[in-house]
Amino acid sequence: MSNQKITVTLQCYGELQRWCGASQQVEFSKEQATAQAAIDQLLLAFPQAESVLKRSACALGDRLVPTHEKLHNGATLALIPPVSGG
Amino acid sequence: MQHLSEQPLDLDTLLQATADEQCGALVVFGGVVRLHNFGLEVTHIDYSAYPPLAQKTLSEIESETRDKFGVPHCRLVHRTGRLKVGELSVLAVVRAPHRGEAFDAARYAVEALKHRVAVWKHEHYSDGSCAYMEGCTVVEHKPAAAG
Repeated sequence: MSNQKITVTLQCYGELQRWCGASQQVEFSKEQATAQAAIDQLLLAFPQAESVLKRSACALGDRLVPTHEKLHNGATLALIPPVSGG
Repeated sequence: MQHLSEQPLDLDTLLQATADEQCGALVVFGGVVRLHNFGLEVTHIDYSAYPPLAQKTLSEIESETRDKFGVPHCRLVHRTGRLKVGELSVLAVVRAPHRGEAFDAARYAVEALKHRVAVWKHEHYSDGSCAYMEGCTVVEHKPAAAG
């Protein structure tokens, strides 16, 4: 079993920035490298963001992705809290 | 076409871009920063966006609207950055042969924008407080199957 670590950048938008700042890096093992695992790492560091994170979607570039989406080393995952344009 | 702009929105540009002699109906919707919200006096709103997804979603909504209502033209643009009271935050322009489908299409496009586009507003008030507006959770949109 590989012990390789990967690093992912999380970009936070909207109300999430209030709790987590604009950008955070998280590191975890390659086997666990899903969007959900990245969110879980962020939640450990910023538990006060839980209610917003639970209602947030994930995106890679211009594509919404499910929380089970696999992430590669160096990926940038955008966290999209509830939107309020208009 | 750019769907997000940090500069003031220009209605004339949209009207020129959609000019069509086949269309007898033109519906324009403008969203404007208003003075009061939740009983508080608004000083300004900071609009932010996640551009890769916001641009794509606005383009998809335009396309959906044209297809769903059979209207030839639907354009949506959203402002970002700091807006003062009275400034335009969003413009929707729909042209169609007749008013019925133009009104329906414009309403659909604006509602879809508010529910799906990765834009956030952070309101600031005259008492020094501020708040992010409650919004809609984004889910992947799947157009209804034909039939």
